[in-house]
Amino acid sequence: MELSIYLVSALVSAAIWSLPAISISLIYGVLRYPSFAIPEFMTLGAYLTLVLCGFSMPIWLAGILAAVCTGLVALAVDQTIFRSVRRAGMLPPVLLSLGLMLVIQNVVRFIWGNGNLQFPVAPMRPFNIAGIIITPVQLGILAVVLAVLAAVFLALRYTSFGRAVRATSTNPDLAIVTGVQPERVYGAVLFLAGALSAGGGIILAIETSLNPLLGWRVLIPLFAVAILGGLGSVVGAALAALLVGLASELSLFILPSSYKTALAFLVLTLVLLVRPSGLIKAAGART
Amino acid sequence: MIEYIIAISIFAGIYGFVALGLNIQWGLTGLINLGQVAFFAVGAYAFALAAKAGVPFILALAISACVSGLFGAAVAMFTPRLREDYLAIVTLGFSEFVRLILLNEKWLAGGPDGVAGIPRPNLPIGLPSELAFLTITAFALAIAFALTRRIEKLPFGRTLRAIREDETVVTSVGKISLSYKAQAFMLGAALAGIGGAFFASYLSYISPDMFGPNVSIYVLAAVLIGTQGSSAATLISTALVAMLLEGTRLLKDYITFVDGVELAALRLVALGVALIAIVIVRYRPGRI
Repeated sequence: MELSIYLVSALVSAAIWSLPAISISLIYGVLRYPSFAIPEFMTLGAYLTLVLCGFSMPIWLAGILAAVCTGLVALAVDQTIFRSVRRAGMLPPVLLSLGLMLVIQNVVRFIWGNGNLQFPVAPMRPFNIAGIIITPVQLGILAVVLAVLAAVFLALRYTSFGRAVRATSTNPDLAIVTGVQPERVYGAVLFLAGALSAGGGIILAIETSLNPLLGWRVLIPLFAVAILGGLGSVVGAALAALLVGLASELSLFILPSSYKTALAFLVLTLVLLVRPSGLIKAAGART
Repeated sequence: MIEYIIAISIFAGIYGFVALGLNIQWGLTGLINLGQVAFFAVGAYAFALAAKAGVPFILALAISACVSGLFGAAVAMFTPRLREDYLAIVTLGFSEFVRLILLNEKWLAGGPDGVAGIPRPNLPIGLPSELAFLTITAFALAIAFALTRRIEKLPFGRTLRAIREDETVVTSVGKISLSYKAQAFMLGAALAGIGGAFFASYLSYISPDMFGPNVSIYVLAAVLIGTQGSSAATLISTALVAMLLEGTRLLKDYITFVDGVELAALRLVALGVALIAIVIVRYRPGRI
């Protein structure tokens, strides 16, 4: 009974983390840098959704529109700022993403202030399925995330875009030789990463509340998940999200809740020490 | 006005230590550290706790340098081969980890309330308090500067530069590059710790929210502007960054149409934009 609450909560955390973690993974796989701007795309997406909800739009439509807008922002930033340092190694894009993080977080703070905002989601009676208590919102979150994960997985595996992404991430030079246009792949990956992260941010804000630090607070768990999943692997990231989610929920039995993030950091360093290639070997299965 | 200039100079001096430390790690050795604020914070808290327990200034300073250095060594040990991408993630994560610990462990250092009543050093010279503190900071910074200049010239420093340029070559002439890298990281962390000690002593009050990621970005920007590797250029660019960023605090008295939160947000937006601009200028094609 007690345990089932933790399990549901771990599942929901995993669902929320998996989307931005896959974004980090995708960008790392294709563009070879860890992007610290991903958490801020979560925050941005959540605030945009709230603005659109203000125009008496249903929340699902507002969420989709906000995710598309965030994706476009990510695409635009990549094509203008990041493009100018494309061939300069890993460090410049990392520093740029750090600068971008600061800019987005504080533009949000400037416009909407530091306060906590709530999404207009009416509280509903939780279901009781075979002794497992789950709210309709949580059930909806799980369903949506699973559908999105399946769509991303299938798109990467079976479409020509997916092939181009996988080819670029395995061997960029060979991909170019075979006619893949790298800038298009980069743009598409950034759009997808922005939109997926925004999705993660929106559901995180629905489950908790919204403030300018929404994304920044989960930065460490996200990187723990992305690294554990083997940077560059989508399935790996989803499985790793489940593991980190379980670990941080179960840790509540022995640690105070304020240490969830700290625990994620320990997971991260342990993974780097023991198995830096991630839990799931990325090679061969970069989908 | 003169108080402002002294205050900005002291802040520039404090960040000078932190930037000199980052310059050893990143500029000299090529080890990226996105969480320099962690060692700054550890130094500040170590100093605060030691000084409040009655430890004399110089000794407390040494303690904070040692504690920060140890933390630096630990981070270096826990980052396999000190690879660039792992370092970026681990250092940034570590800085947030440290902030969380300081925030949550009330028994250690007051949690969110921080530590108050941190003493300043007593000086026998008859200067007003602020000016005396500036003198001590400048004197200590001069020593740190001389030391780092010396390190750059020593065989140790040459090895670090060689590691930055080509690690394989260094390994092939029989030097254990990992040990050199760890030492450089430790040294840089210790310098940041000294900066933290001066910070705590100057403000006499510290709390976890002073040690956000923006401090790391401050010094990253400073080291980036100064041609990486040169201590003198690093100090000059740190002074520039401090003037720009601390100087804009003055605007608070003149700009009335934005409130405190908005102005703080705008300053950080400016910092982010500055970092982006510096990176683009520094790394644009054909300039490496």
